[in-house]
Amino acid sequence: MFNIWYLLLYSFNITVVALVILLMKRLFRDLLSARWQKGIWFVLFFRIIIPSSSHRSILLPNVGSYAEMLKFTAEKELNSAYTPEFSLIRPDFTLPQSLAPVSVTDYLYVVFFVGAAVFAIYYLISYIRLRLLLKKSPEVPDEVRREINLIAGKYNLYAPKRIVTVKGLPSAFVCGFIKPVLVLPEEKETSEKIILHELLHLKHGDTLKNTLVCILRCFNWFNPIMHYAFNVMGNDIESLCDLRTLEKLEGEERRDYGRLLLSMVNEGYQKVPCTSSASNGGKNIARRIDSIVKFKKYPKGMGVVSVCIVLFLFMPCFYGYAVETGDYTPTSESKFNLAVASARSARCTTMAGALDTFSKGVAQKNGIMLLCAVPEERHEEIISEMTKEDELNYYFSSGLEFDNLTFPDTGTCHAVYNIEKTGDRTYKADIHFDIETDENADELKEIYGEVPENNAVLVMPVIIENFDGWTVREAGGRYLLDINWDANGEYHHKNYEATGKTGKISCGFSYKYYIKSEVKEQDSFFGFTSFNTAPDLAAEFESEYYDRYTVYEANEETRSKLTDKYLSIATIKCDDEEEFENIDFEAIKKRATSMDGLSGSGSSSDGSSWSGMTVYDGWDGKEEDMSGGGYSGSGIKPAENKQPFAYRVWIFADGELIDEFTIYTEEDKQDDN
Amino acid sequence: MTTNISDIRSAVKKVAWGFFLIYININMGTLDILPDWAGYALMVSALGVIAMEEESAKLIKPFGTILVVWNLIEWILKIFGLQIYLNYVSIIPSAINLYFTFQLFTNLAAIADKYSCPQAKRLLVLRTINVIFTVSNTFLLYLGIITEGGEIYTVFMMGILVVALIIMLAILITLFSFASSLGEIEEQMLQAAPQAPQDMPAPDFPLYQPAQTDTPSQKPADETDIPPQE
Repeated sequence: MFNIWYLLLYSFNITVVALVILLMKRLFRDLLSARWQKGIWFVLFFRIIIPSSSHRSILLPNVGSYAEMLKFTAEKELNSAYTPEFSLIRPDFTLPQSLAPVSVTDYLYVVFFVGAAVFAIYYLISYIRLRLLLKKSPEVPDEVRREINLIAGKYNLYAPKRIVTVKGLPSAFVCGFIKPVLVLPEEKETSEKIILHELLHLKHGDTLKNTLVCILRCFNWFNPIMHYAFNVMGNDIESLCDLRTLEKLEGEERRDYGRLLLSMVNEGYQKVPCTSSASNGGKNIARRIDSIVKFKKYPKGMGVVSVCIVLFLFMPCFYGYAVETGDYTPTSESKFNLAVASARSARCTTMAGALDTFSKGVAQKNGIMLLCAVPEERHEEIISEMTKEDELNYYFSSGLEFDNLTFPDTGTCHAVYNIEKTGDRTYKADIHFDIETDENADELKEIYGEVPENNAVLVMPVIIENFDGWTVREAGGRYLLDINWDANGEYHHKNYEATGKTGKISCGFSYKYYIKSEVKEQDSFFGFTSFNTAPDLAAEFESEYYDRYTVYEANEETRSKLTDKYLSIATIKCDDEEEFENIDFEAIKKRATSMDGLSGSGSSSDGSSWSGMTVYDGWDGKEEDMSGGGYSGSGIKPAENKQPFAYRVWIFADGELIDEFTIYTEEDKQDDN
Repeated sequence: MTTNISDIRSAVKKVAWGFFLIYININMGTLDILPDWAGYALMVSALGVIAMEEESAKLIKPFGTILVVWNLIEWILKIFGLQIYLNYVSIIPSAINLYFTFQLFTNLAAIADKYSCPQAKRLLVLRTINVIFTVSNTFLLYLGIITEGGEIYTVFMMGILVVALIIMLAILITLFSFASSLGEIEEQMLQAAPQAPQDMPAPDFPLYQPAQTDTPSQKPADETDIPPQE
């Protein structure tokens, strides 16, 4: 909803840009010509017509956060019809429609529209009256028209079809841009130079620019600084036209032009939309004469740097700076409100940043961190929890299990697994948290049923989205897994199963992503490392670990036949059909069966891995191959779906093939498994 | 004329050393012993002489002063570990710096051209490359073209560093060689300066006429006094 808060933030932002431009113009007034002085306004123009949202501040730190804070604090009490309490300030240009204003802020919003309408109507009426007057005004005599056509021809300009005279006019002007009219005073002769000036206005579309300025005035009617800026903009249009006029003239003619302007100093003028006039008020004319004196005295060869300065200013003025967060543990009400506003306005700029922020928020039960990373629709819930019972506290309950987080030496307490793309801008993943289960075991059992002893992994499936910044939300379905790595690895693997003549296999893989987590403290004496608990909204993935796991379980009949034999499993992952068709079975067999009775494992760059052991009496029938892993420290692209096309698994006993399996991972082919 | 070239040469050397101080930073803790503000101060001190050859150089003196003050404030704050986040305000001195450097190079190129130094064209080219490089970096970073991280970002940053290093070295080499060229011209002019010729016109002032007295002169034979003008 477009509301007064967005309007105020928008107006503040463009005012800051206008002030910067005015300052720059002042600094460069003797150095860069009228072209630059006018051209730099395009930065403001773009800033005005292309709005930004509150998560990027224009030049001043955290303006967006303060605006959000003010809005939230005010709207808590006001019950606005146009500004829901938990909505963020966004550029949404919908009108109030049929909703009646309720709160003070609603009425202010209505007042804004009324004011804009009043200004628009005033300008429209002025323009219509002028056009009606011009319609009735007589055309100039033929000799005057011929003269004007000669002037236009001499300077290669366009003379408008309608040229009229008006009684009581102080000086000539042009009106309109679709069907322009050149208007001359009836009582006195207009100098060739003034006509040249007006024709140059026509050529460069200055009447259209003035019209746009009038429109912008309507929307900024309440802002005196913007009115001043628009006045200066209008004067710059005139000064540039003077420069163009002087460039067409030579020698003494330039002095004559200056004298002509001097003669207009005492004339009044009125701003009417769609018009341009050589006379724009005494003070302005004085400035223009000053510029004329400086004509050709500006340093030469400054074209490149003139453009570069405008471009240099354009980016911070247009793009702004991202909102800064940092206070995740506010200790007072004002700090709390600002922290909440900053967090809501901030954006995680990378997937890793969103996952890092979300995970740390969950693990530390910090609602401020969570606000940075979750979608807007969850903000109300989190803020309500933090402000329940009139207490302002960054605490947010993540669940009982997070009371018992463990922090291993080597990293954070959480890890991200199996990021998969599920849509154009959506992904899914699992976040694992290491927790101790001794304390609160009974309560945990009530939630999760079976609870492993001592330690467990809490798996939190999440959905990651990238709409206006990266966000993470729980997908639901948390569950606990035994942290014991000797288990059959189901907990973090995507598992596929197949049954053959000698037994069954399950095959799975996982991708684990490490996010760069700055080491806060490294204690060289005690040898421990404490990681940075503050989230990084722009974090990057540091490395990717790929783990493949195959478990073979022989049936009863096979177990007895395999005693004292060397059993080996070979697995190969095929990423696509081509790889599947081109498997070098002999090479794989040779590698898998080459240990000659010694237990061993290994992997190869062709994607195969193997593992072997001599079957002993009392063997439980299971053999695992965990050697199909890999590590990558660069070029990490977690968004790409890395599910393989198929697995092939072979079982050898003393070098002889006894069984083989093919597992397709795609659902429509899984009947072939 | 000889003196003028000497002054110009001195000014160019100051500008060269000024850029050296700006480009090269040697930090001892929080203290930069080659402070940027000293570099700008050197350049400002050279502007007076440069303006005698190129009048438009006068116009950028206020800018130079602003840059000296701004960099001095930053330097002092840095010594006390007060890293005030001035990014938001710093776009103005950064824009001023763009213009200042560009104008200065334009003026130096004009002087080089006037004295037929081979560095004239190179100064203009470096001037343009420098300003375009600075602005395009800012543009690309703001557009977030290289915020994806990973290899692209690393390669891009390395590329920027390499190009920046090349530009810096080229500027320093060109400025110092320009000063050197002016030195050669000065030498040539000194060598070409005319000897006391036989056909020199008579000097304006009257030659010393020894007083007609009985007292022998106390002065050595090779000294000549010029009598005061009446």
